[in-house]
Amino acid sequence: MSTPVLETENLVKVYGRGSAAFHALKGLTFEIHRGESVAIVGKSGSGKSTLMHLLALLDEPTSGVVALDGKPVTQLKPKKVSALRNETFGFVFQQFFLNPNQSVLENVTLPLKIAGVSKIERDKRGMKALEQLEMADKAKNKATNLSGGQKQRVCIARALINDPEVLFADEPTGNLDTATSETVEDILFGLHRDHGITLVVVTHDEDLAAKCQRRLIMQDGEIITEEGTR
Amino acid sequence: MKANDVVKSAFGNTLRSKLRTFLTVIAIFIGAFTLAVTTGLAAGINQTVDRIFEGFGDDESIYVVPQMDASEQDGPPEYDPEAGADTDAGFGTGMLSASDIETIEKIDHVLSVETEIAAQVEYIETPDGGQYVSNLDFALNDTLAEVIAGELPDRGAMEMTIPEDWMEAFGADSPEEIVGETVVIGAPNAVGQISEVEAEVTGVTQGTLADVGFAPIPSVELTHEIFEINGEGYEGQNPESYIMAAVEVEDLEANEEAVKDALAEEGLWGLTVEDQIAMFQQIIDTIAWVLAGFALIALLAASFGIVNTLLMSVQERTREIGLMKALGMSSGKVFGLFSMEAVVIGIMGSVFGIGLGLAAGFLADMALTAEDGPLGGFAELSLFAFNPLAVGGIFLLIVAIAFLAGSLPARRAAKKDPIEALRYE
Repeated sequence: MSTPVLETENLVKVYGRGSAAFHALKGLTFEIHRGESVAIVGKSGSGKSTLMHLLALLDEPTSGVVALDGKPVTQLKPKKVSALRNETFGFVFQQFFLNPNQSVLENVTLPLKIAGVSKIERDKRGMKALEQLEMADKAKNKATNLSGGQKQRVCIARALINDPEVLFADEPTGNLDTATSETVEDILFGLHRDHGITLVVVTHDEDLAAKCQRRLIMQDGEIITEEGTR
Repeated sequence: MKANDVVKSAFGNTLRSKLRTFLTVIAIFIGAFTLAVTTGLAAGINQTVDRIFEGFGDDESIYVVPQMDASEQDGPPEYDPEAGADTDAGFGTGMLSASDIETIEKIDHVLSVETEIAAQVEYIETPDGGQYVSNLDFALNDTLAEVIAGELPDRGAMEMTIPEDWMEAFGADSPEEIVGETVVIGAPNAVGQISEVEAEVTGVTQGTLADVGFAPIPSVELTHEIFEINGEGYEGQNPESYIMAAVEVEDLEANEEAVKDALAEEGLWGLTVEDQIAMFQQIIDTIAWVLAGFALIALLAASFGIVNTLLMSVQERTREIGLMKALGMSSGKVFGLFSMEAVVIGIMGSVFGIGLGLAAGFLADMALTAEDGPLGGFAELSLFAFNPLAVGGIFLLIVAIAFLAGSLPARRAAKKDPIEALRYE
């Protein structure tokens, strides 16, 4: 069996201290393998967002280990963790987080700019990513002048631009109507199917979760059931 | 993120909220403008002084006046019959007596001593018979004069210079025409009778910032001659008293300190022309520093403007900061980006401020010192000059202040937690 791209061991996250302590995650151990599509499902307050933040190295666990490609990352320096995030992960957020003052192309190429890629190279790869999502004609538009579905496609292009190993999608369809949601879902799963991208979707939408190969159902900081197979 | 991307992004970000940036830049601008003007002013006047006096570097004289004794400033000094008669004609430091002069002559390395006497003149008569009222400048001020035609009078001959604006009185069209003319000086004696002496005009002077050359400058010999006339008919002993003495020193460079020390021991105060220039420049520098102090206060206030602007900016862009950090931007780079925005504001303010300050300084200088300007009468006067060292210093100072001011908001941005920031509404 290959090394899992992400694995956790006894992952605990506690907010606050003493009697006010809130145990958001109560010791989770699981693996996500390369090329998998995994949904983290649960109601709000179940700890699914906290779990995603830990997996995506945006937050540090109170105890336990997150390992990337078999290497524990908990002990790494913040600067190294930032670089890992930039190189390894793509993010799609519910609220898009597009910079309204910048063009679509500039928004898409932000991860490359952070990585220190030259402008020519950035724009070339940015246009390629936009073409892949059929948004190339909007490259020069301001990000504010787009519809919801278009915005999310720009976000996906941004998430793909650095050829990530893992694509994290946090309620990717939460702000979209049904028809647009389906388009975005098709794009995400198309990427998973055709390009072998590892997909981690955080959602409370059961229809979206059902399209994933594996579902981790969370409640009160624990995985209560695990559905699907690899 | 590459350095040039940081700079470009910072510049772009400052232009996002144009009005706010503009207002912040204005505050920096005012400080930079004031600093540019004050340093330019100091540089200009000092350059003028240097230029006017640079010809006197070979002046081997020390100018001597009685020393002011600080302890005697309370109340009037005690009467000393040996001391020279105090008149208003001196530098406000008293007069030199004949015995002082003898003392000076005995000091080592002193070659000769020439004395300045207050000579009273009734009128000066031009060759065509016109009589004019005038005071005479001090004979020993000749070294500070700006001669535009002819030359300075020989101290030992009956000669004098004439100020430029007397050309009309001589009916001359150019200063050169006056040189070589002979004037008649009418001097009163002790009982009010006028005697006349003749003097040759050897040069024409233009007034300088040292206030020399606005009146005719006589030779030392001429003042002594007039003083003789002034004393005629006086039936008592005419006390010899001198306003100032010029001491010629052998090898001034080597013996300057020794002679000055010897003078100080005798209660006398010796100054070279260079010392006098230095004193004058020190006053100008002091004024410039005081003005620069006000400009620094303006800059201090402006730096708080930067802090405020960037704090607002950091607050507004919380989510953007969160996104950048989530996408892998290190805290150090976030700090760099925001402090670079402060630096960009500082650069904008200082470039415009210094640029316009220099332009305003040079334009004002041109207008004021033009031939028919309010200060056109002063020789070689320039009020403003470009001092590259000072301008560079101001620029760096402002950029440094801006960076310091930006470091607080930048730190706040760098410390933001990406999750919290992305959740921020």
